[in-house]
Amino acid sequence: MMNNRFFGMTFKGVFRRKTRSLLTILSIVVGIMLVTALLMVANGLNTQFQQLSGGSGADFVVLDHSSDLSSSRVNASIENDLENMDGISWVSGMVISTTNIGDRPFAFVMGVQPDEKSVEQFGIVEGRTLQSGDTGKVIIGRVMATQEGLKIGDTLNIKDKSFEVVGIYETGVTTEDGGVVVPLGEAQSLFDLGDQVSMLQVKVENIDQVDAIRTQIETRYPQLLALKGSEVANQQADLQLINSISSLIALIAILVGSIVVMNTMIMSVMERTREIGVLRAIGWKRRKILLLILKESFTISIIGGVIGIVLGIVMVNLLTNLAKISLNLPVTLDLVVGVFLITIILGILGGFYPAWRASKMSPMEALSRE
Amino acid sequence: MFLKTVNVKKHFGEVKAVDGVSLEIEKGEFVSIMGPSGSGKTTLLTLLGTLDSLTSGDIIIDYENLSSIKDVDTFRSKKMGFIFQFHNLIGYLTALENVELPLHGLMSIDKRKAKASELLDLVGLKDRMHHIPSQLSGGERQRVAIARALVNDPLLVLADEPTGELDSSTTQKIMDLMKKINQEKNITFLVVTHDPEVAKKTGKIIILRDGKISREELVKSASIEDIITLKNSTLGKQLLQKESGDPYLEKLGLFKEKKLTREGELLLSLFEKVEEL
Repeated sequence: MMNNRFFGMTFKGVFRRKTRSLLTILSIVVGIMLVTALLMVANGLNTQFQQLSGGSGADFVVLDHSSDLSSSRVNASIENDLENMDGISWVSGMVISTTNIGDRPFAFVMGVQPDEKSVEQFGIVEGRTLQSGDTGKVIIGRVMATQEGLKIGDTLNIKDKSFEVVGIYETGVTTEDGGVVVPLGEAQSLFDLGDQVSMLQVKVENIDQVDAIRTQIETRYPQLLALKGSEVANQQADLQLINSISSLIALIAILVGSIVVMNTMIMSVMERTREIGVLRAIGWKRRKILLLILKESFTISIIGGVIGIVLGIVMVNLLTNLAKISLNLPVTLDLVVGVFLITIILGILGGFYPAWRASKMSPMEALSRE
Repeated sequence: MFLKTVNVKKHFGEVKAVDGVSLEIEKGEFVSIMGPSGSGKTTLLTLLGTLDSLTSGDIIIDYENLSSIKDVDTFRSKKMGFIFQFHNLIGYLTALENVELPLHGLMSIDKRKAKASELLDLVGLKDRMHHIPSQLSGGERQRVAIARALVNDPLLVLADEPTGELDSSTTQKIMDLMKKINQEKNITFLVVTHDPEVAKKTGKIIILRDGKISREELVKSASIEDIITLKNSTLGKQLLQKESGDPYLEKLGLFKEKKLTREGELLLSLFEKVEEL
C-alpha cells in the first residue's frame, strides 16, 4: 500500500547518510545530464536535416552515397536528364556546405540557381532575393544577420571572397537562418565543385508516383539515392555517429549509475542489518523489506534524474549560445520520457540486488548482542 | 493452556542450545527466564517468538501449534510484541513513527497515528512523540520500545534483556510499567533477564541451565532477603527457639516428635549464617 508516511520513511531512509546519498545523486546527475545533452543534440540534428531538404516543397532529394550532405556530389548533367523524365514537375540543384563565417565556427553556405525553385524556400523578410545574373551578392538568414549585426548593403567575407548582402531571409529552420545563400555558380567555385551540386530537389506531378519515380531514378543511376526528408537524416554518417555515441553514453550512464546506486544501497543495507531484523521481527514481510529498499534506490535515482535532465537542458542551451551555433535543439516530450525511463531502469538495476539481500535477512539479527 | 512447549529442542550442530524444554504458561502471566549466559534463554525466546525454527518438539501459542502456521510473519505481527535489549528503535524515525511501524499495511495512516500516540501516552511519553531516539534518554527509549511492542494489541510480549542497558532506578520504573500493563491489559509477558531484581518482579521464574529447565537453580536464585524474610516469619522465629508449636513445622519435616530433624538443623544453621553476614 502506497501512502505518504511510507514515502516519508523512504525519504528519511535515503537521507540518513546525507553526504553519501548526495554524492550518489550527484553521480547520477552527471550521467543523466550528459545523456540528456547528447540526446538533445542528436534529436535536434536529425530534425534539422529533415527540414533542410524539404523547404522548397520538393517531394524528395537526390544525392550520392557519400556519408554526409556536404560531401555529396551530383553531376549537373543529371539535372537535365531528370527534368526530361515523365512525371517530374521540376528539378532544382543545390549546393550545401559549411564554413566559418566571421567568428562563427560553422555556418551553412547554400548555393541555389536564382531562377530555380529551390531559392523560393528562403522567404525574404528584408531587401530582395537573389536574381539571375547576380555576382558577388548574398542573402543571409535572420539569425546570422542579428548575431553578426549585418544589414542590407554590408559586406560579408566567405572564404576570403567579399559578398554584398542584398536580402535577409527567414525559413524557421535555425541552421538555415544561421547560414547564407549565394548563387549556385559562386558556391561551386567557393567549394571547388566544378559543375557539380550537393543534391537535387525533385517535385513530382502526381504525389502517388513518388515511390515509383524514386525507384526509377535509383535504378537508372546506381550511384545515387532518392530520399525523402526523413530518410536523409538516416543517411548522414555524422548523425549516425552522434546517435551511436549518445546511445553508448546512455548505456554507460545506466551501467555506472546502477553500480553507484547498488554500492550505496548495499552499504546502507549492511549498516541497517539490525534495523531490518527489527522490522522483520515486528512482522514486516520479506516483500515489504524489498519494497522499502527499492523505494529508496528509486528515490535516489529519480532525484538525480530530474536534476540531471534540467541541468542537461540548461547546459546545451548555454553551450550553443556561447559557441554561437545556430542549432534549434528542442526539448521534446519523447526525450524527457526517454531519459526518465533510463533513470527508472537505473534505479531498478541498482536497487534490486541490495533489496533482495535485505529481504533475505533474518529477524534474528534484531536480537544479536553486538 | 495459553502457551505450552513440549520437549522443545534447538540444536546448532553439536551445540544443544535448547534441549527438551517443556513449560506451560497461563494467559496474563508475567514470567521471567533466567540462567547463566549460554544457557539457552535467548534461543528459547526466539523459538517462542517464531523468529527461528525448532529442531524438534512443539510450541503451542494461543491454541495454535506453530508448526502448522504457514504465515508466521502475519501470526507474529498480530499476536506478538518484542522488546529488545538495545531498544532497537530506528534512529531516523521519530518516537511516533517507530511505534507505528508494526501497523504498516494493517490500517490507515490516521488510525495508526492515533493508536501509536495512545500508546506513547500510556508509557508517559506524550510530550516526546516527535523526538528521534537520540534526543531521548535510555529509559525513554525503552518506553518507546514498550509502546511499539504493544501497539498491535499483542497477546504475548517477549522481552530480551529489556533493562540490560539501564541503571537500577530506571530498571525499576520500566519493570513497574511492564507489570502495570501486564495487569491492566492481561497481556502475557515473557522476560529474559540475568538480573535477579528484574526476575523478582515477575510472577514466575524459569531457570535454564544447559538448555534445560533447572529446579535446583530456582532455589539457588532465592535472594538473601528471601532467607531473612523467612527467618523473621512466625515459622522462622519458632524454629530459632526450637519450639514446635506450629503444626506446619512438623508437616514440613523440620520437626519430628518435637525434636529438630536433620532438615530442621540445616535450616537453622542457614539462619545463623545469615545472621553473621
